Amino acid sequence: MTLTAATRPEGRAAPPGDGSARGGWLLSAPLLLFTAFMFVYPAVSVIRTSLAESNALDAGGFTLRHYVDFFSDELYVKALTNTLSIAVLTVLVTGVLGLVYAYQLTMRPGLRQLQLALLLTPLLVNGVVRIFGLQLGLISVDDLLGRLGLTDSPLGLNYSFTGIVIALVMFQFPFMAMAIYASLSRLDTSLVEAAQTLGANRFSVLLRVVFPLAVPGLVAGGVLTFAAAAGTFIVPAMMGGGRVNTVPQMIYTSVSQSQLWATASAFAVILVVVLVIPIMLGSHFGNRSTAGGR
Amino acid sequence: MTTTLSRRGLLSLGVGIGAGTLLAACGGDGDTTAGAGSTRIVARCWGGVWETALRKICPDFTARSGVEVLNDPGSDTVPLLQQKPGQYDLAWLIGNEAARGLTAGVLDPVDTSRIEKWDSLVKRLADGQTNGGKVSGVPISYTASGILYKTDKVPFRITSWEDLWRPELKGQVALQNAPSIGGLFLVFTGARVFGSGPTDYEAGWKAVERLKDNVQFLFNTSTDGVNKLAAGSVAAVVTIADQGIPLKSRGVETVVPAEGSTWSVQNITIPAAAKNKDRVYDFINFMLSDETQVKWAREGKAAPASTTATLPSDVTANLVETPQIAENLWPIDWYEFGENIPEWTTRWQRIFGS
Repeated sequence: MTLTAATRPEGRAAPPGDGSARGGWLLSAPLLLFTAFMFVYPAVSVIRTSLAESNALDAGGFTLRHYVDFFSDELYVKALTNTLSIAVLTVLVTGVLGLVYAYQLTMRPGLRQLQLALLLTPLLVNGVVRIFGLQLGLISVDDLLGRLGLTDSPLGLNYSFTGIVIALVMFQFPFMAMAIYASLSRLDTSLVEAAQTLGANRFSVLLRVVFPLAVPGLVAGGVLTFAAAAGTFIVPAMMGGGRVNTVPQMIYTSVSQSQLWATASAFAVILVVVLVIPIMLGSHFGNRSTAGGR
Repeated sequence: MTTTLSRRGLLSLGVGIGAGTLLAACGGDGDTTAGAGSTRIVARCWGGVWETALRKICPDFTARSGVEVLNDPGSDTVPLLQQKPGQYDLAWLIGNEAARGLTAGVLDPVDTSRIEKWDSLVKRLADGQTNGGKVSGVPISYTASGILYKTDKVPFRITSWEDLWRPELKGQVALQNAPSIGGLFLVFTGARVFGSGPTDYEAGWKAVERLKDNVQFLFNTSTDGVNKLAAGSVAAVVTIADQGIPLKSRGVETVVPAEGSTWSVQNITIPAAAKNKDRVYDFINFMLSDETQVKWAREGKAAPASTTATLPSDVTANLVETPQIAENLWPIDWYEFGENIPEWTTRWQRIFGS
């Protein structure tokens, strides 16, 4: 006889390995199948291709040559350095801006719905259109500074490393701000008042009271921003003007015209591995900070 | 008992949905022409102006032949043909892609005896797709490369490719980024202008390195360079010459230098795994008919590949490819170029990237 919830004595948990455990597995089967098909299969396929001896789509064999080639070529190592630098800078800038924005939204909640709407509305506009708009805006900035006599020559923000970071901050700021706001929305504002009463200045309040409470949001937003900034193709392609190589661009050029499948797959695996390490570290320290705060 | 039954029902539903999702996903790359027989051909084409032009022209083919053409626009066609054999009956490809597709076995060699106007095509175009007697694609149209420049920003009149290297253009030139062919063409240009001949590629690369100081940015979509030129943030762009004609009223001059020029070609190719090859040959012959060539030139803003088509004045007004320019097109071996692109792209990235 199967022990059901209705017949099981009160307070007794189901023994391990009985029907409920099996039911749990079966219940999760659709999700497992979905994950296997959408993530595991492509991942295994890319790893297998990256180890193939030649660049043909159906090539077999085993070699680490494509990985060795990547790390022995200055062009690719520089592209990896650029990718990581862009991602780290984007996280830092969006983190600072997001913290300030979320803090003022928490402390001055007047017109909060309008503020949130303004924050999220840009996400409704196509990304390429936003990049074109940004490029024209940066041209106007150069024009304005030149006319005011503040600069002798254009700042060259378009088609540069700085331009890529500016665009990524523009794209990722709403996500970071929302993640931090989710953490700070539970902030007890009397803590801030207490700190100010005890003589803390605004910076001290932000650093010692608000920042620790915002850490979970910063970590969540940071992980999202880091992954998106490091993995993007279109922003460096349009804002870099061909002058800043990144790994996603290398992957694209390897496949689009050259069909170097194994080379591109090895680059993709390297990018994922390099991204996973800081993301895991961030999550780990975020969890520790959260646990310590309890 | 009720709990057990409802859980089973839930599990059955879940497993059913999961299995259904998996089966649907597995079947996603199935045969899009299945069941349609030979009354429909599936074409891989480019988006934008090309797709718009095809949407206007294909109904004429359907009216004549009863065969519907389903156009699937997008880029990166050769990798797609490799990954999904049998998905497409024909593919529009530029010269080097067609050559690489044939070399890789993704495309069938074209049976030129079935192309009614093969002997009437601009010779340079047909020769470029031919290697060892095998033809990778049928040219339908072509576009010459040129220099587009803002007359108020360039302090001299540009007449030659050599002018791009003049110091007055420091930081004022935009080129197409590799691996797109528009930028890599500068290697050919450098070889001819500064080297000992068309295959003196080392001289071409040295010229590209010297050009770096004049380059403001590299663009990935052909419209990007033209848009920045129209906005006045760059003084000169090397791109498809025909793109400059609509900008004349905004002070943009278009030059195809008299010493000749590189060019791009729009080919129809036949995937090796295509299922309706006979219908594709019918479509190619339709596209090369004089009437369709005129319509294609008007809608696609590209010069016709057939020499028998006579363009009306309203069409020629939007094209720079005069018979003289067609005569001066530099020969391009798309097979050799296609083989060189991976290495040339890396070299290009080393020069311009940081």
